Amino acid sequence: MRSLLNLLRTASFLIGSALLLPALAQHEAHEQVTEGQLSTEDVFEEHDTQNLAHAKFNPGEMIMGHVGDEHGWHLFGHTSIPLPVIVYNTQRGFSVFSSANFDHGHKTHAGYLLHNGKIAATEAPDGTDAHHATVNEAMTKATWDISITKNVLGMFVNMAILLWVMLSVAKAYTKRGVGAPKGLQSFIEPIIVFIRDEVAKANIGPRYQRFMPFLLTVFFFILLSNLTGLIPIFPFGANVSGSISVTFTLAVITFVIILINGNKHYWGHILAMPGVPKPVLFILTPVEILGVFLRPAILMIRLFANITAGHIIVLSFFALIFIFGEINAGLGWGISVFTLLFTVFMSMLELLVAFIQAFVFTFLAAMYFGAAVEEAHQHKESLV
Amino acid sequence: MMPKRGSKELRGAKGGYQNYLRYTGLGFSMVGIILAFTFGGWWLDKLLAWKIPVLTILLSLLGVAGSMMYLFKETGR
Repeated sequence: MRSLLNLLRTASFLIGSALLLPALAQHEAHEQVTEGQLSTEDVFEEHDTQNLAHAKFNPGEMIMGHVGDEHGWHLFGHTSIPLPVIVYNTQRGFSVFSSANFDHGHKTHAGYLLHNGKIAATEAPDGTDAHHATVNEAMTKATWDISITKNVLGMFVNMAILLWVMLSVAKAYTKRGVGAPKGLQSFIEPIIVFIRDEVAKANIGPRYQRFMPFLLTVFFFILLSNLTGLIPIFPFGANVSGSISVTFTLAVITFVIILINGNKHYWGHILAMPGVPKPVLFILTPVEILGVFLRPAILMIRLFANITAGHIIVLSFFALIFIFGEINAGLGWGISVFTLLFTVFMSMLELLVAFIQAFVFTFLAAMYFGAAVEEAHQHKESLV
Repeated sequence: MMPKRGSKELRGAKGGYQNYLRYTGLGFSMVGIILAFTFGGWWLDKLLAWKIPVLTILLSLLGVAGSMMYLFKETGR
């Protein structure tokens, strides 16, 4: 069953990337065309770029726009919720303003503009057409973008839900004491007990309690982020766990906890594996040190890739409707039936993946903690 | 029939998925080790600027050896 699932994932990811690659290539070609026109036909440039944007459906842009982060939360059509832009520049200081000032990337504001969705510094006055303004590279490098973006807001929404659920469950325990769980309790309690018994105790051993807060937090946060990422309606649908910044942060926290809790036995085995001949240590020690960094890095990539791949596949199927619809409207309608069925199938798979990935992250983190706090006598020497 | 809690069957199944999870990152780790060694060699070669990229070749081979060692160490547990 598992191998079948893996096979399915791989196959669908390959299909997804196969669909995506031409789309990306098209995206680049599209940019080149617009740039060429910008330099040669000054009068018609805006007219032309707008026409191009409207006339041709760009799947790569659509998919990346949905998977990625943005300043402002796009709802439907031309409606979007502006979000606060918070920028710190080492020379200009803090600037805080609404992302509505950028007019979807068409205008400059307070010396900044949106260049491919990212904040860039410019010297142009407020309200200049962003397509004419030149980006000040040096200033952009000195700019720190700490805006409340779509993903950040999505994360706040998830945190609010988590706080509400967990606090109400905690209140139920203080009110009723430890007894038969009721309501939300009966959903949360088995999961917490499962994480404690099957993940923490099984991997970490007697000192599991110190790691429980982190393991539970990370499990529920990833699970909720995965699930809300599947709901395409505001205030859900931000691709939080499919953002590499989020998974990077989670991995860094895991890494720091391993570093802090690693005991003498753990570091001894990394720096000089006992019972190994000296010449072999010349290779083994660098490998072990690399392993310390690679483990959290793989945690980061696994979660990010799994969630993003699922989203890209679903979006690729949606893109098919419009690609075929451009050829013939009837063909688009026909394909939409196929797309709908496949999207339902993929969503089911993604529901499963949401749980699996949250579990895998927690489980592996617990395993690494277990290795870090392991005592000498529990270890069986196996190498050589 | 459901296996009893703590029974041999259940423990066997648990060990199965635990081992599975333990080894999921192994391939990536091995690739990562080889890449890190090769990149290190390439970087050192750039500093040395010799005619033949000796260190790239040597370290990439060492990386392969290292990744094999890592494999043995991880699966031997």
